[in-house]
Amino acid sequence: MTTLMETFQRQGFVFAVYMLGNADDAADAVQDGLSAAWNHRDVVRSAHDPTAWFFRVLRNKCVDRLRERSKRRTEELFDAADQRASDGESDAARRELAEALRVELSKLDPVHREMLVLRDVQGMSYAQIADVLSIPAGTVMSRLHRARMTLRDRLKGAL
Amino acid sequence: MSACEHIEALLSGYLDGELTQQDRQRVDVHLDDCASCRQAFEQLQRIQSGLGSMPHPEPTEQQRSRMMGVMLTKTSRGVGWLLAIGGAALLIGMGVYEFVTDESINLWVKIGNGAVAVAALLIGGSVLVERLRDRKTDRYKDVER
Repeated sequence: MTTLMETFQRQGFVFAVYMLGNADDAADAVQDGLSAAWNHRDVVRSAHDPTAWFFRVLRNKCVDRLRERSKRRTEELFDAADQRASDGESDAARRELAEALRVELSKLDPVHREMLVLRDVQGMSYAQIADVLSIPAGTVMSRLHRARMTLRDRLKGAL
Repeated sequence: MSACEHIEALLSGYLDGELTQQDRQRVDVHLDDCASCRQAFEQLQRIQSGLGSMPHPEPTEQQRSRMMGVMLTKTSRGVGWLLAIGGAALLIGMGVYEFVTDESINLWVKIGNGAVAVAALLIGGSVLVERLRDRKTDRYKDVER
């Protein structure tokens, strides 16, 4: 269970930062999620997909926080990541695209942002995403496509 | 809906390898012939690889220990309860043993104390059983008051 909790913490923090745009809020949401996972550890252990179980809980924690501060923007998003990006990337064009992606991702509707983070950042399958969001797999494909097309339209110059 | 619009709706599923074989073949054939859809597909590919290669935000050591502290707090609380209950049971057991085996105490005092202890256990036990039964059947137990 400890290993599972560490995995949840690592993956969950990335998701929560992208969703909430703030590392402290993300840590709070993950803490709540981990607390729920630990309280229901028997359920988690016997779950068909423990990761999907945890992300479903974490996603709800993030949605609650987004509702609480629905007016606040996500400017702080990726502050820490920016530095690492500029250190690691050597290709200027790729760096420019990564920067544009970060900015536009933070401006997306949370419904679209969560699709892109779950699929393209976390690498989940459509079935897992459907499980996390409690929606049909067909809806995952159409919603994800709308999210990507929105991002594409906003990034046209950079692509 | 034009052929391009129809294919465009399938591009994300195609990119993610989530289409049926039939749909995948349709997209393959269309992309061979349509430069505009091919361009859209390549742009989606760049978005996906760009998102996938973005450096992941990492917590500070303080944030990490706060998140993982949940487990430590809950575990130590559980161990604390276990030790407290175990210790109390041991002390009570030893006390009872000393009391029962102490020959300087009058037999009637022992019987009287025993009766009080048994009565307390019976009353306490019945209240506990009743509470547990109520809790199981209470339809409003999850309602926040």
